[in-house]
Amino acid sequence: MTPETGTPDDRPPIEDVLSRFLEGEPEPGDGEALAAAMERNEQLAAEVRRLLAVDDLLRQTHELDPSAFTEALKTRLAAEDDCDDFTRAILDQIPEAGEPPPAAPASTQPSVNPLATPRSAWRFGARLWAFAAAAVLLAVGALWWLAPASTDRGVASQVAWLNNAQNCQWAEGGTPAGGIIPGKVLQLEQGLAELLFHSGVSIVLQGPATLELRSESSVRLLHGRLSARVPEAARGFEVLSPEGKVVDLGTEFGVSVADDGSARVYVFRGEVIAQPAGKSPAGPVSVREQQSAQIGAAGVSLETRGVGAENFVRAIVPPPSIVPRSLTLDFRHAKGGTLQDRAGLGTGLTHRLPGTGQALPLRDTNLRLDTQLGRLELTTTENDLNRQCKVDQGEYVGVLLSDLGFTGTEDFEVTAVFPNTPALGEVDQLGLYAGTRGDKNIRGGLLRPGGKQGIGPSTQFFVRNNGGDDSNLYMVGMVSTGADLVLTLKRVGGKYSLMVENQTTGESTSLSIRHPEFLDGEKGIHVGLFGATPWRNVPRTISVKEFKTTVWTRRYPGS
Amino acid sequence: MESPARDRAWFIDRVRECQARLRASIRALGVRAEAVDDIAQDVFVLAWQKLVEFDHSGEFGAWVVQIARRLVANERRKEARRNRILAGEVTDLMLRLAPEAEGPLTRLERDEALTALRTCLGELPTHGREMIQWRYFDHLSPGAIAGHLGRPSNYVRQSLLRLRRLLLECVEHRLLSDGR
Repeated sequence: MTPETGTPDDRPPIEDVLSRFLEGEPEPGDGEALAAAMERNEQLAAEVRRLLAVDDLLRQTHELDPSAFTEALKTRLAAEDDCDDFTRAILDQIPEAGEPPPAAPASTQPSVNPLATPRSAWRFGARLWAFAAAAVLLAVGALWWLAPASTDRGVASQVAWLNNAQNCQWAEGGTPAGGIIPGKVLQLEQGLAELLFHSGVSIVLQGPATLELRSESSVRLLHGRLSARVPEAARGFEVLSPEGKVVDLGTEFGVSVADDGSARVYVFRGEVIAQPAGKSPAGPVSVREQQSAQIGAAGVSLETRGVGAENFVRAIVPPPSIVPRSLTLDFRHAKGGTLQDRAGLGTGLTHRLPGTGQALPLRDTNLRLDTQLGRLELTTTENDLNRQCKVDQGEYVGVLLSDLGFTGTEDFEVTAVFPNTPALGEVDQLGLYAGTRGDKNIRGGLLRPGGKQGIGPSTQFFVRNNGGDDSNLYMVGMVSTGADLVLTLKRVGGKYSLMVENQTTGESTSLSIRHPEFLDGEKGIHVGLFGATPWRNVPRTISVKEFKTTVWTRRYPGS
Repeated sequence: MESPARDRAWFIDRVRECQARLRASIRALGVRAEAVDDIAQDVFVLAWQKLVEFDHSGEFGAWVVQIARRLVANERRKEARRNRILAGEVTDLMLRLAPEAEGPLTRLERDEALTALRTCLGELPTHGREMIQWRYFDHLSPGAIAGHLGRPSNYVRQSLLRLRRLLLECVEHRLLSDGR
């Protein structure tokens, strides 16, 4: 199946009306317009009904607990069995959560059977339990209230459930485990938690925060931050705070409570009433779309130019998936369009570290691809990145990370296998690099320390170069000539390290240096391998068996 | 039906079978999505109370849909503080139309209907499936999805409308070819 194509221009306006209606967001006049169109067009009327039906079936398809509806009904029917007419009469006198006081009844519609008047099935159970509590109270006195809340009240007594969570850490005793029943206090130490109420209200709680669930239509934010989406059907939903409360009028808003108990509300859509606590002489204030208000000891102060919207998380967006993108070279095939060896064979490596190798010929006489053995041989030249000595003839060959989707922030890794490492002379070096230029990079691998005359064992090293001179040189251990080495230079969580795995001795060493902040956020990072014999023209040949670069790209849902 | 217990088991079985159809039918009357389950629960409770009136030679699913239509009509008449109807004019019209017009999908038992829908969901392009997932599983509003995609809300609403049409077409086509 492929989606139909269509442009906004050829779409009749009724499509806009219908799409708003289906999403539960009709604008004034939409109902009339849709009804009139359906009256005229029987086919449209039938389609609207089928679309609404499929909408609900989609909702059912995505239910977390497919048996929840039936189980709730069973609980309710069981309650019916226990309730005689007297009980029901009492139940009808207990107001539903969020209902106005008895002076303003929700409905004056006469009804022979109280159940013939639609009301919340889910709330019904709560009312039944309230009645049961009252009955037991009469029988055994107030001691009943001291008993801990029963946990077997069933589905109907839950006011909300945890619908989504991201990186959540809950305080002990403040987790949603055991059900979110009235009186439950959630203590979110970090992360985001989305609570969904039966009434359709959705709250995103941002840790650290403490929230008391009072009823289906009332919560108390003790500290921290939340955003709430309240459908029209749940108007009147309230968020209490130490200095006052916010009462919704069908909208989306955010509330934060500071350590001193003062609260700030920001309205994304619609309107809320911000009401100071009883002790304040000030009255309620209406806060409208894109306005914010402070609720403190002195009352409510409206900020006409809303501030703080950016502090609220309005929805939990799935984190990006991490997708590795790699380039692997085994040097068994020549690759056209890449850096050429002395015979004109493409090595597979695509870029030189900028600022290096400009003096080298197109067919690089220092490179030899041996496709039979699967090796790339690199013959060193006299140069050194330290003090930028003859770098125009330096061999620093590799790849540009952006070719693998790197945008400056991703983690990455480059690995190369160096079999049978050669004997090195004083300050000779080989290894891997990462950087944007010959004078802005980090590099590491093997180095024959200065001051050691002649050829001999090498040391593992890792060094920064920012501006042309090496700094923060780190050296450790000793590596004998002829060892097979696997070098891995990587950035994980933004931090760099170099791993040297000696396959001959079975030892491995991890090296780190002061963080090269000059590479942070750089988009044009190159990685690759190098070999150099500074201060003297004594070429040495380095063999490379495998080369692999990986960038851990992020893929956002929908992108 | 010899005993109330057995009666109850029989009733719950019928609920399992026809709840998908009932809930979809209530939604098709223009009831707000978030109020559908509340009304469906009321319908089943009422059906349980009036079970003696049910003609066992008839179809249970059609019977509860009739009860739902009466309840929704009642809902439409009263001035509820929490209005569960999206637009009165639309619901009035829906109530005048015959109850059978929700299409073949709602005539199936719950498992069959949801299975058919899932199969068709699987045939949607990835971006379409993701959008359905955000809307129905993550319960994101079109505005939230739009914010995430960096597109206008209307784009999301229109996309969702197209996706529902595709799903309808797919499911109904399948059912027709199955001879239902």
